[in-house]
Amino acid sequence: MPTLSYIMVAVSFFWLLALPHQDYSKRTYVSENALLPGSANVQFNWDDNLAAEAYRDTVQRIAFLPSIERAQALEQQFAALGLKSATQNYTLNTSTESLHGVNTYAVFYAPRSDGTEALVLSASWRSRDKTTNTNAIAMLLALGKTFKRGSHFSKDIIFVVSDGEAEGLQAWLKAYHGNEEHTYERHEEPLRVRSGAIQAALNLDFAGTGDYNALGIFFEGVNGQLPNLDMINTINLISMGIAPVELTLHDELIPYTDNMTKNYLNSLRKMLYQMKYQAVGTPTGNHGLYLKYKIDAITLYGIDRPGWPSQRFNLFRVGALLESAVRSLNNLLEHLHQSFFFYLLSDVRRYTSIGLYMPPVIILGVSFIFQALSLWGLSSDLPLELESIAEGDKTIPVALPYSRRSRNFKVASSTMGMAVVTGAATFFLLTTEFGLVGETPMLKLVASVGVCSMLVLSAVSTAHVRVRIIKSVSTAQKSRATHDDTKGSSSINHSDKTQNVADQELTPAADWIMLKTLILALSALIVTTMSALNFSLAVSIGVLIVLPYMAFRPSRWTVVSIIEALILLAISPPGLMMVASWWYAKDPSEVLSWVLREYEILGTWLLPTACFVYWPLNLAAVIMVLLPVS
Amino acid sequence: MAKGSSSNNAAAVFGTAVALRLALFQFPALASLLGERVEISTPVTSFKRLSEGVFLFTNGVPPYDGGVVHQAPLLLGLFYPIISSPLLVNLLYILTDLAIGYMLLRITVIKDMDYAKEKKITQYGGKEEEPGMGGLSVATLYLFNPYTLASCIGRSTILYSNTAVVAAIWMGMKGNRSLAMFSVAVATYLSLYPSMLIIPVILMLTRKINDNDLTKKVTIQCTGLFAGSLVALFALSFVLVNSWDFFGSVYGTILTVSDLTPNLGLCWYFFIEMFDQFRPFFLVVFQIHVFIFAVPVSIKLRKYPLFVSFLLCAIMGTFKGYPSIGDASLYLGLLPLSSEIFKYMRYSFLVTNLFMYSTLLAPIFWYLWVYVGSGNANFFYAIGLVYGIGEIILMIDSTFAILRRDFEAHSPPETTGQDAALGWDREVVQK
Repeated sequence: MPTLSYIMVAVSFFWLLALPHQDYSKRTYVSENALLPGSANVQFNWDDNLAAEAYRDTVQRIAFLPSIERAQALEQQFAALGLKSATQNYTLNTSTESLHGVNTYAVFYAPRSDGTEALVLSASWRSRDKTTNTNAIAMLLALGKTFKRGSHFSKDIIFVVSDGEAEGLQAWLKAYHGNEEHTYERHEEPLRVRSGAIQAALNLDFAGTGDYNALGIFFEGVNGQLPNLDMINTINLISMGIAPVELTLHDELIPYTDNMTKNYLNSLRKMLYQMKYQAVGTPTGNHGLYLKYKIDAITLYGIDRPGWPSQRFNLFRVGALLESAVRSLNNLLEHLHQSFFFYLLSDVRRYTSIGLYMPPVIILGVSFIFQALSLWGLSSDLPLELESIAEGDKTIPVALPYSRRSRNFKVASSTMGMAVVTGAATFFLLTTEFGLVGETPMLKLVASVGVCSMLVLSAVSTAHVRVRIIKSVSTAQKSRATHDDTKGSSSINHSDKTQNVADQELTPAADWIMLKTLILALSALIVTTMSALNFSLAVSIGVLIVLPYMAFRPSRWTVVSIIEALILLAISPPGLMMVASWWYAKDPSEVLSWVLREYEILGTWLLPTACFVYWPLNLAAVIMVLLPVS
Repeated sequence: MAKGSSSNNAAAVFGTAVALRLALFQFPALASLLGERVEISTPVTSFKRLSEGVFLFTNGVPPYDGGVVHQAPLLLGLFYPIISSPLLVNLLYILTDLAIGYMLLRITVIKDMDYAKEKKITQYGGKEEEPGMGGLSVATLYLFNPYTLASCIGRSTILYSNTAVVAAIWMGMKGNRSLAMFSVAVATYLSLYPSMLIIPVILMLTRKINDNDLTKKVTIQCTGLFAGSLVALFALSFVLVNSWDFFGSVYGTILTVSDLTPNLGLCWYFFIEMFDQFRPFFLVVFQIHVFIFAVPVSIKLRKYPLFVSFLLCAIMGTFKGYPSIGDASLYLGLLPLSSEIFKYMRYSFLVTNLFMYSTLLAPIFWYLWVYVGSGNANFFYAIGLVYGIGEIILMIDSTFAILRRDFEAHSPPETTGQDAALGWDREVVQK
C-alpha cells in the first residue's frame, strides 16, 4: 500500500504537468447561443473616435485633481451626454492604512427595457501599470455618446469610474447591492442612481494615451472564482472578426512557434500564471470583485509593447470591439450559465475543463488516504501470535481475528486539537489591533511563531517524558518478574508472566503512528474538499505537503528527525513567506502586510486557510517527527 | 473513593458541556448562522419557523393556516411563555441536551447490570470479552459530538423529539411501562417516525418475562397505553390551538414531503424532479420504505432491543423526508450503547471519513450553488447521497458486527486443531 501511494503521487504529478499540453486541452467555443458574438453592425464611427480623443484630453486634464474634484468633473461630462450620473464617497480603514476616494457612475437607461437588467462597463483611475487609465475612461465617455444614439439596447448600461485600486469598485458594488456599511472601518455612501440586476461586466484597463499592440484578458477573481468561459469566448470571436486585434491571456505576449516543447512550456507558463493568482485568491483586476456578486466579468487590458510584430490599434478599434461585445451581452436572455465555470486556460483559445483537471488532485488525495489506511491497519492488525497452526509440514503464525490491540487516539487527537487552537490563536493575533506601541504585523507574526513553538516544545517534551516513565515502569516490572522466576516460580507466577507478555503485545501502537494517520487523513480531506472550492490552492497545498507528510516519520537518529522538522518548518506559513519574499526580492514584512491587506480589503481566504488549516497540520507534522519512536 | 472520582468526572463532563454551550451561545451570529443552515434546521425543525408560530399564536392568528409552521402545537405551548427571553430559550436547549446525556448514562448503567448477568462470550485465545464503554464515555460521546453541538446551537427542535426517544429507551430499560409508552407517544407526537420505536421499547419492557401469555398481555397493555397517551396529546393540542388544522400542517407535511427545501436527505431532489402524476406512488414507496424495516429488524435482533432502537433511529435519520444532523446526533449517541460490537466493525475508518467529507463538502457545495452560482443543485444533492451512503454503511456494518458477535456467542471459536486450520475467517499472515 505505501508503495502504491507513492506511485499514485508520481502519476498525479505527471498528470498535473500534462494538463496544459496541446493534445490534452480542447479548443474553446461559444456555448450560449443567444450571445451571437460579432453579428451586429457596429455603430462606433469616426466621429465617435474623434470624440474619444477629445475626451482623452479632458481626462488627462482632470486626472491629477483631488479625488472629489475629478469625480465631479467626470460626473459633469457624463451628465452632458444626457446620462444620469452621480458620485459616491467611501472610506476604508484597515489596520495599517486609511483609504478615501470618490467613485463616479452614470446610467444609460435602455429605451426598450423595463430597467430590470443591466450591464456594467467600468474603469478605475489607476491602471495596473500604475499610470492613469486615460484611454479607458475616455472610452467610457465615448461609448456613452455612441450608445445614446442607439435604440437596440434591452439592458441598461452602467458606466463606473472607480477610485483607488480594488476598494473603490468594491465600495460601489456593495452600495449597489444594498450592503453599504456605515462603521468607522468601512463607510460607503448609498447610491442615488440605480438600475436593475447586473448581468455581466467588462472592466477596461487601457493605460496612457497611445496605441496598443495587443489585447490581454484577465479573468481570475477573488478566491479563485472564475467568470463563465463564454465571456472570454465572446471577446475571442469578436477579436477574430469584427474588430481584429491580437488577443492573449494576461499581459504576456508569446511569439508564435511550431516547436512542440516551446509550445508546451508556454502553455505551462500561462496555466501557472492563472493558478498562482487563484491560489493566493487575489483578483488580477477589478473584474474579480464582480464575481462575488454572481456577475460574470473580465478585464480587457491594452498591451503596449513597441517592437512587437503585430498591427497596432487605436481607440477606434477598441471602441468597435467594446460596442460589439456589449451588443453581444445585450442579447442574453438569462444569466450566463451555458459554458464552463471551472476551467484552466493554457491559451486564450484552449481550455482544460473540470472533468479533465480533477482526477490528478483526487488521485493525490487518495494517495494520502491509502497511506493513512496502511498506518491505520498497522496500528491494529499486527499479528498477535497467540497461535501457530500446522499446515502441511510447516507451522504458520495465525493472526487471530477480533483480538486486535486497541488504538489510543488520546495523544493524537489532543495534539491535533491543540494545533488547531494554536492556529486559530495566530489568526486572531495577526488580525486584531491591540493598540500597543510599535505594533507591526511582523512583530505579531513573531509572537505567533513563539506561540507555535511553545506548543511544539511542550507536546514533544511531554511525550518524551511519558515514554521514559512507561519504560522505567516496565523495566522495573520485568526485573521483578525475572527475580520471581529465579526464586523458583510456581505455576501461578508463570501464568502471571504470560499475561504480562500478552499485555505488552496488546499495548497500543506508538503515538506518532496515530498522529500521522490523523494528519494524513485530514490532509486528504483538506486537499480534496478544497479542490472543489479553489482548485489551484488545493493543488499547491497538495503538491507541497504530499511527500514530506507521507515520507517523514520519527527516526532513531535524532539528526534525521531534526532535518525532517527543518524541512517541515521550511514549508510552514512563515517559511513560505520567507521563500516568497526572497523570490520577489521583497522584505518579508511587505509580503506579510500584503497578505493582511488582501484579507482585510477583499476578504481573500489565504490567511484564514493558512492559519486554520495549513499551519495546524504543519505543526502537528513537526510534533509527529519529533515524537519518540516507540 | 472510586465512586467519588467518577462523580467528579461526571461533574466535569457535564460542566464542560454546559460551559461550552453557554460560550457558543454568546455569539448570536453563530446561532443564527447555524440556525439557517439547511443541514441543521429543516422545515419541520427550524427554530425560526417555531418563533413565527409562537408569534402568530400569541397574536391570536391560527398558526397552522399559513403553511409556515410545521411543529407540533404543544411545542408552541412550551415556548410560548419563554420565547421573549433568549437566555431562557438557550437554557432550555442546553438542559434538554444535558438530559439526553444523563439518560444515556443511566441506560448504560442498566445495560451493564443486564450484561453482568449474561454468560460471557469466550473469545479467541480463551479470553473473556471485556465489558463495553462506561456510561460517562457514552454521555461524553453524545455531548461533545459536533453534530449534537451544532444542532443544539442551531436550536433545531429535533432535540425535543430526540429527548423523548431517549427517555422512552431509558424507561423501557428501567421497566416503567406507562412512562416508556408515554415517551414513545411524545416522540411520535413530535415527529411521527419514532412511532416504530414502540416495538423495541416493548421488547425492552418484556425482556425479563419468560411467560408467553404474560408477554402478550404486557404488549397489549403497552399498545393501549401508547394509543391512550397519543390521543391525550392530540386532545391537549386541540384544546391549545382550538382546531384540528395542525394534523395536516404537522403530519401532512411530514408524510407528503410537501416542503421541498433542500436538506441532507434523499427525498427533496427526487420529488422536485418528478412528474406530478407519479408523485403519490413514489411518496408511498418512500414512506413505506422508512417503516418497513421496523418489524423484520425487531424480529431478527429481538435479543438486542437497544441495538434495534439504534438501527431504527438510523433508518429514520437516513430515509425520512426532512433529515438533519440532529437525527445523526441521536443515532450516533445511541450507537455507543452497543459498544461491545465495535471491535467487530470493519468499516469504521471509511464511515468516519464519509461523515467528515460530507460534513465539509455540504456547506462548500451549497456555497457554490447558492452564492457563487458556479455549481448547481446536483452538487449539493450528490453530497446528500454521500452522507446517505455513510449512514447506510454504518447501519450495515454495525448490523454485521452484532450478528457476528451473536455468532461468536453461539459457537465459541476453535483455536486449535484441524478446525482452526480450516477456519473460514482466519487471516493468515506470513511473516
